Amino acid sequence: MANDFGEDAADAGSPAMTQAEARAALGSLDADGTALAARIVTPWWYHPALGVITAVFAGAHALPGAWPVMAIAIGIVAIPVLTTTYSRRYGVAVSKPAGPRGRRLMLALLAVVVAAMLSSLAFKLLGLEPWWASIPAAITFAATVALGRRYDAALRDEIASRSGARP
Amino acid sequence: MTVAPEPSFSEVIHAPLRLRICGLLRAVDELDFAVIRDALAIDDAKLSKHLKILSDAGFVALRKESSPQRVDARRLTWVALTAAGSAALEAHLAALADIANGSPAS
Repeated sequence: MANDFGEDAADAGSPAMTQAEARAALGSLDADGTALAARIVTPWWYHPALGVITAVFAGAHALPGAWPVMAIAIGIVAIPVLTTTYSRRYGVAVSKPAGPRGRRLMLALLAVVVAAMLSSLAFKLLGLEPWWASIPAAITFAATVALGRRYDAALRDEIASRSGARP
Repeated sequence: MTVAPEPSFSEVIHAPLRLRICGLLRAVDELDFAVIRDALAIDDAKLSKHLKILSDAGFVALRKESSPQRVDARRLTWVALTAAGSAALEAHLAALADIANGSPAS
């Protein structure tokens, strides 16, 4: 993208800028933010894969013996594998929400996962059949896919604005 | 509540391409070298030159990582704003906003 003010002059260290040049510089950042956000395309498999992992967290407590610990350990390893695979493939690493909307959606998903884990644990303590845990696990899977997709849309919007001059 | 940064013009960030590099990095943890190059539509040499200036100033950090997706064993180069770079960028953007709004530059 072309800029109104010269690279050579800028490299020479001249901070003198006109009002128009400052606006052009800020405008170029907004355009870059929009272009970067457009590159952040989550592949179709990402949220279902994440949903399987969170469903394992939610339902693992109902499993017998040492299986809950093993299932949760596998889930803990699987999350960084999933996010690193995504980052390497698309060249963009984002580990936290870029704004308030993303933060709210992430907290909502976290609340669903915690509530599902507690439900699963309660089913076990109440002596219910293990298959009851499939209900919070299924809800967690669905919430991860649905909220995850909304989170991505929010992330794109908020990256587009955050890359620019706005605070 | 976040405190607005004190406007301060950075001569390192002032160059248009360096400002745009920092702007891209502002919203993410890290970006791959190739993503920045493509987003700015510049060549490798030009981006390397500007990243070196930013790195020498302590404003960006570079990290190499092997890439199993690449059969030629090239490595990914991740670029991130440092804390000092982030502070300098916010102050520089505040100074630019002052100029754009007709206020005296800091």
